[in-house]
Amino acid sequence: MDTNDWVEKQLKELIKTSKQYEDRAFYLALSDLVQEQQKRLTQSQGEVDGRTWNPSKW
Amino acid sequence: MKTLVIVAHPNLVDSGTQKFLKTSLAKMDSVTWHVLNEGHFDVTAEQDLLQENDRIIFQFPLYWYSAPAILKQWEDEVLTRNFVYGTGHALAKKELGIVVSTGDRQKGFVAGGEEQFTLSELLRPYQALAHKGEMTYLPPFPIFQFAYLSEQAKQRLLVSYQQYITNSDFESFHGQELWFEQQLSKKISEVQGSSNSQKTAQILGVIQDNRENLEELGWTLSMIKDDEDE
Repeated sequence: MDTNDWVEKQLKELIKTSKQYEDRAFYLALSDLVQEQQKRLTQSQGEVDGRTWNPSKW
Repeated sequence: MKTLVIVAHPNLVDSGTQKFLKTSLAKMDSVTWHVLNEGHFDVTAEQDLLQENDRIIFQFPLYWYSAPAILKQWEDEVLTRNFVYGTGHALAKKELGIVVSTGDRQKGFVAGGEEQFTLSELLRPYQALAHKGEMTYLPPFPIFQFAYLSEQAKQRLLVSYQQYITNSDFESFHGQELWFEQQLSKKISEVQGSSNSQKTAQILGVIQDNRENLEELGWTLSMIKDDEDE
């Protein structure tokens, strides 16, 4: 399992099992953050690859 | 960073929104919840309170496109000329934020819409006040139709609100990452020794790795872009 998938699974579990409302809210927002991190990582890596692949500089 | 939340609400005990917001901050450090009550204000005490804090929040329900009268009364009595911009600039370099709730739809606050004006336009007097006092005016934090929000939307609102109050850099994604890391570290120390603490520590590790990788990719990209410019 991918590390980020593992984190999301753990966070889902914490959202379900936390007794305090604020904790459930926190883990939900944290799960949003991790998803956003993954999206940004994929996009940035894609942009680095795209910009490095620059035939005009060969 | 210390934050002062000035709450202006004529019927505070009946406000579900305000109760929700107050509970959200119960475990947050360095936050002072300050309710404006009817009567006259102790100007020195109020001014001292302002000076002790770095981020000042005006929090109120929108009444006829403005704050309830008590906030204006407080402004008129407490924000004396010399305190704000005359001989002293007691509020300079502090931040001013507005938490405003309304029962009207978000959609309406647009040119040509039901309310005709955006909230940024309607809240101009506070922006002008911040400007006069050499404060930094934060983007307002609006809450539209709280009662109609879904459970998940309320939970997300809670965490965004906590950040608006306590995160010195809530606007950037990087600032949000750091705030979440801090909060998670706090939770780890609270539940030390339990089965959850190890798991939570691992989650924190992954989030930190992600953040560091993003930072590195950001540097690489800016280097490539600088290079392309030459």
